[in-house]
Amino acid sequence: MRRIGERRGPLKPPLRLNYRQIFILPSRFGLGFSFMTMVMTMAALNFNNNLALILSYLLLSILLFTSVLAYKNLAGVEIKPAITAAVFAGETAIFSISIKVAKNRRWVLQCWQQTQQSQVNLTPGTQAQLLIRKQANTRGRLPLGRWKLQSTWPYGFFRAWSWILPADYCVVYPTPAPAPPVLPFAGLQGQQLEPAQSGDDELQGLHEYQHGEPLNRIAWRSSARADKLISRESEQTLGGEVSLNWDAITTSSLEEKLSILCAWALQSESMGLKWGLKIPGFELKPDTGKAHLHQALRQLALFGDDE
Amino acid sequence: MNKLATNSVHWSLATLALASIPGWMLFPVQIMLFSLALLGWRLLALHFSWKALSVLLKIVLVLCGFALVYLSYGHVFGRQAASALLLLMMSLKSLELYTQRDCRVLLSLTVFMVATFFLFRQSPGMLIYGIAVVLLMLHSLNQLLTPSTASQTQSGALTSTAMEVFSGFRLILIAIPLAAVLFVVFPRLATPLWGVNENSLDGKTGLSEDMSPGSIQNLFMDDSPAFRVEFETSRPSNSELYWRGPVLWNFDGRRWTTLFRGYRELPPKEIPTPTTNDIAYQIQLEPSERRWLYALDYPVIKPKDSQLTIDYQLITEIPVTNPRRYRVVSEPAFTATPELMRTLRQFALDLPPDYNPQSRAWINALKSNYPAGSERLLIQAVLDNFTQQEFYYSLNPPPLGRHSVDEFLFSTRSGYCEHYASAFTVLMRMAGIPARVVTGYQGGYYNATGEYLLVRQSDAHAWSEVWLDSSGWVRIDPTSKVAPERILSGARAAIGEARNWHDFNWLRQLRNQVDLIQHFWNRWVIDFSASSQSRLLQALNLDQIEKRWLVWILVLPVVLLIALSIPLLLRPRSFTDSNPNLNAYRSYLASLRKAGFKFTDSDSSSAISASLGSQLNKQKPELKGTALDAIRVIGKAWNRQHYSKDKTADTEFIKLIKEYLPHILAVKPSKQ
Repeated sequence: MRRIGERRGPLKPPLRLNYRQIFILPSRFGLGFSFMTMVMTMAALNFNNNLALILSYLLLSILLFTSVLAYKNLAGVEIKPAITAAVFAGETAIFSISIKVAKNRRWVLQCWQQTQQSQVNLTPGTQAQLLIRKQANTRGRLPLGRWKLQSTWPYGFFRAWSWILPADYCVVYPTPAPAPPVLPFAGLQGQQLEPAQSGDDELQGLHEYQHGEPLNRIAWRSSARADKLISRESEQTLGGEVSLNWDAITTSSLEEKLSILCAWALQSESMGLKWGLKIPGFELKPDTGKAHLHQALRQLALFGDDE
Repeated sequence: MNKLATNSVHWSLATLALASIPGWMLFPVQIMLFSLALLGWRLLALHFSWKALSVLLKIVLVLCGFALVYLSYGHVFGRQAASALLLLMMSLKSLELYTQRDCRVLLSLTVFMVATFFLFRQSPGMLIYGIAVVLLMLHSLNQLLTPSTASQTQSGALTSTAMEVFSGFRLILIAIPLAAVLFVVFPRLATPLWGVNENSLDGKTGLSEDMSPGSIQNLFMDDSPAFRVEFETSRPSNSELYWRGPVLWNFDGRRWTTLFRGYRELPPKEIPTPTTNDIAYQIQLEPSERRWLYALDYPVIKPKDSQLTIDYQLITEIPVTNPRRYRVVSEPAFTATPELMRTLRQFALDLPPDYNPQSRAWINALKSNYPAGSERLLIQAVLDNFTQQEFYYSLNPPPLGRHSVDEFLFSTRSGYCEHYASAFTVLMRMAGIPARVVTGYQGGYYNATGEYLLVRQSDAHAWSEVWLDSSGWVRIDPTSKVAPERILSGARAAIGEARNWHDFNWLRQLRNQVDLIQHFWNRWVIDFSASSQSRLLQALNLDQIEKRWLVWILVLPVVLLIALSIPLLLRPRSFTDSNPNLNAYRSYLASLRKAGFKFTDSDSSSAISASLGSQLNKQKPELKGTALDAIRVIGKAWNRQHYSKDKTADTEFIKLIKEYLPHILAVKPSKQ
């Protein structure tokens, strides 16, 4: 199917569906209905009842022409590349695909991926967002994979569908190590820092969790004790600099190393440190900020990825 | 399975109800009531979210349905009984509409059910009705595909419904030519694959095989057509139009019946030969579900599948269950057998003993005045009695007792053809003259526009035939002596009064004229059959062509038509004026673009406003202010119109644009 599809035309969004990409076959209901119409035609021929015969032929003609309408429903649909936000391994990636139709008419489209199904009902002049959820299990690229846009509109006699083979993927960051080693403060000798995780949960430096604060600031142990969400004070005041170095980690496992680096990066960012990253083949100058963090995490996610 | 929206169930039930209407009207009232009760329960259950019926109760209801049909018809396999059963089972199916599949099965079968109703009525109106059912079914099928959107406003839902119904209608219009071509070229069956069980016919109307008091009276009230006649030769006058139906020989004092089957199906001894005075005509017979065909005396050329009985009635092999067209040539001057078989003579003289003593005495007294050999004079004397005494023609005569002929002749003296024919025939038999009753139709209404004769059920008639040794069977119509206008212009003219409350002259005139439509419909559509198909090919000189080429000639128009229809289907639908504001806003943008402004259509209106403002010509500062205001006003109005609930009236928005657009156009964009 993939080969047939690829031969027939581009399937990578952004694309506009036309006859090359659209397949049509009668649906099960359509087959049943045409069987009923044929029985009706036979009976009408047998009884030589011309009125019933006209009705049967009319239904047959309608059935035939509905295939054209089913095609028309998909033709001209524009599919944009998927928009997705990076996730950590173990989370669910959400691909948001926007679908647009040029003409003023009503559309009911179904989208399928493996067993997942969602339906969009496009009313005149609108653009619909289609959400495909996918479980991200391992770090790296999570391709959206082939999905199907299908429509049985109108009447459900025919099923028209197109296979979409997008190049879209979601970047999956490594899972942050649950208990990473202490941050390697290479340039800050003497200033021994006590990361919150390692020490006791004294109440100083903690406050009640407020809506909108990053989740990684929640002090889970304290929260459990206090029976409400407690988060750590922003440690921006520290203002140090740290280099997260691949070689500083003693574990031999590659994935574990990446996991630890990931946890370090998150920690450093949340503590407001200026931090840099050094992994084989890539070095990031010390800096801070969201873009910096994502750049680093992306490198970790795609480490060893040749693409 | 996804759960059904209430909306879908409503539409499915509406389709079922529309499709059931002819059934409710056609079948006995108890079937309509049962079906309505089931549909009503379903609607109420939907409304009050009642629990579904238990399986046991459903089985009981199904059995009730079968029982009801059996009790109404005496069987469940006849055409009408089966159709009624289908109607009831469909109504039962409506009780369990839980999934999309349930609704789809129900909706598909509604059209099938409508097709079964076509077995009983085939008027052009029925076809229009059938198309309406298809339209509603298609719309309901679409409802099943559309998830119910709660956010849709009432008016929005209405417009989209109208749009969908319109697109369904458009599809049907495009499909009609293809259906018509298939109708003409698709091969027909010359003989049916499976027959109709004769015993299962149940929709009998019209004349029956026997005549008991009151049987013809019912027909007088029925104005539905029995058959239509087109004469190829000149049309005989109405008084000669005796359409022969069943001939009745046996009389038991009350009921007249036909000869025993064994005798009836004997061929006549002499068959008429064609002469120059023959009358040739084509009859378009409405389905009577009987085996006989009507013809004038005496058929010389008859349809191939029919035969003449010994009493010159035309009998077909199978009952007429479809409208049927046949051609007959009759020879009115033919004289039947010069000799009457002994057994038949006996049948024609047989009377039950101990009936009508008064008449017997009267005819014996009269007979003594006429010696043997002067039967004609005796007949004349009996007929004269009808005119000399005060006999009346009436459709509502008093009921008669055991000695029906005595009572009729000597006390009530009021009746219609049935009474006169019966009494006269009995008198003849008493006088020793072989006689029999003939039933059929007499006269008809000539539609000059369509050049055909319309014979209605109300033209039913009964007359006598007597055997005279010199001239064979002679037709005598005693009714014509009492009410000559019955023969000249029909039963309605003979009684002079209205038969019922809706019996108006103008209405009958109108109906006679409107029948023209039905006539042509029957002629061109309903009559179309295997033989008409081959006649059509002959007319086009295509019957000489080899078989394999013939197939192409049949396939070609179909393929051609499909090819022609597809562009029509694919044509993008133009923007409807369902949203006048949107149209107004679009035309506003279009005129600005024409004036030289540059902007992107897909931008938000505020972005467009800003872009327009920056492009305004700086050379005319005094106009620029007004133009800027105008741009801002329209942009804001559009935003309010399009996105907020608080809408300006449509007309106001359009007025606004009309008013402000000139101000903007007054300031052309500056050249960059």
